[in-house]
Amino acid sequence: MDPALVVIIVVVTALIFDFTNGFHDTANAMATSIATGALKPRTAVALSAVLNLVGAFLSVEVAKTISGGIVDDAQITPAIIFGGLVGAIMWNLVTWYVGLPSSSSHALFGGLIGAAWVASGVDAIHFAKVVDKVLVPAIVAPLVAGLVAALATIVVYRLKKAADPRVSHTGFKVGQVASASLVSLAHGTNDAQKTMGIITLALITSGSLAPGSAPPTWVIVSAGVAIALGTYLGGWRITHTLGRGLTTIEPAQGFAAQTSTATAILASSHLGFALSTTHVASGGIMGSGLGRDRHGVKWGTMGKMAAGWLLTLPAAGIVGAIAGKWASSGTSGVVGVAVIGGVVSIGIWILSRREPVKPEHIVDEVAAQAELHKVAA
Amino acid sequence: MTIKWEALLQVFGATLLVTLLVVTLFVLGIRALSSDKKVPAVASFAGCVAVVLYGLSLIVF
Repeated sequence: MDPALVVIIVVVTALIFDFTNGFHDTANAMATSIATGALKPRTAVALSAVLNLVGAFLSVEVAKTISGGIVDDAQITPAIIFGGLVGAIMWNLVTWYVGLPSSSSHALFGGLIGAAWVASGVDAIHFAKVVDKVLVPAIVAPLVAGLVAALATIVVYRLKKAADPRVSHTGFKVGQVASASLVSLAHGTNDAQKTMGIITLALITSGSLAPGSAPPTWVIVSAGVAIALGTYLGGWRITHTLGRGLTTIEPAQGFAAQTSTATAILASSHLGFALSTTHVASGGIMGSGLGRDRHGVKWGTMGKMAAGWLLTLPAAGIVGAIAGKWASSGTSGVVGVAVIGGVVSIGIWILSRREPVKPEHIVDEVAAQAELHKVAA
Repeated sequence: MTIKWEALLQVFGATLLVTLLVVTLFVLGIRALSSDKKVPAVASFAGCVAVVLYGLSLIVF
């Protein structure tokens, strides 16, 4: 197959992955603000989309290796990248359909590991790095964010007793919007970079760019736009889980959760222990729920999420392996993977239309929840 | 396999201290605001803004 054509396919697939990454992760930044009514759903996703777009342009720090040393970059071909991306997209769509917040980075790592393993052999995988960079952070992130959010929530609720409830209600909503905005911005900087890195690598392997080049402007623009578009379209299914499924959220609590999420993400990316935004945000919401009321947390939902996190790597890996192997076999393989991937994606989308989760649903339920609170008080 | 315990502890410590600092300042600001003490309120919120600006500078640079 014409190498240029393979590169075009990889670029398009990478942008589709970026788009799914956007709508998968809207919830991380905005679920609590939507749940407490600090922002209307459409306003929240628009704000988050703009900040993701801005974030994509802010950082000059380019992801030099897309894989962070997990797979041997020297053994990666465009067909493997393509297979890995297909695995990651499939897992993102399935988890979106069931409303499960799972890490898009882990899906990408899983897909790449699977594809590289079957196409280049087991030597291409650095398993020690998998433990360091994927497994340990996945356990640590929710614990760190959860513990900090719980303590922050306890402090906030202790101290706010002396405040006028009306002032504090409005005040915490404003604080929530500020901290959620910071999460969106940091997300745009990190996650859009990932896609830029992949596209740049594909261009380098095909010889269109000199090795070590920075991403061309069109790559930065298209990756930023793809993630912003995905963010704007919402991912209401996952927002529903995070905003409602784990615990009920009050503004002061949402503020504490978002502040610890924003801080943990920034601290982790600058002190060299990278944590997934999704795991941090989920842990933060959980911790703040525990901090407010020890019995106010739905452990069942948390258990399902944790199981999903463990499955992310192998599930995306298996799909990535099949897709990567087939795509490596030549033109028919690439076309076959693309067609099947497209059909499955459309299938999941049609399934999701049968039981749509719309922003109105989340808001209605939140209103009902607020009524309950009044009665209880 | 080398787990970077030191980096992990740093992340945890930094997250804990900064989060508690911001939320405490913010709540104190809200308390001051609800009892109409303008100066302490502005000072508390200014502290929060300073931390947020520092966060922004981490993202940008």
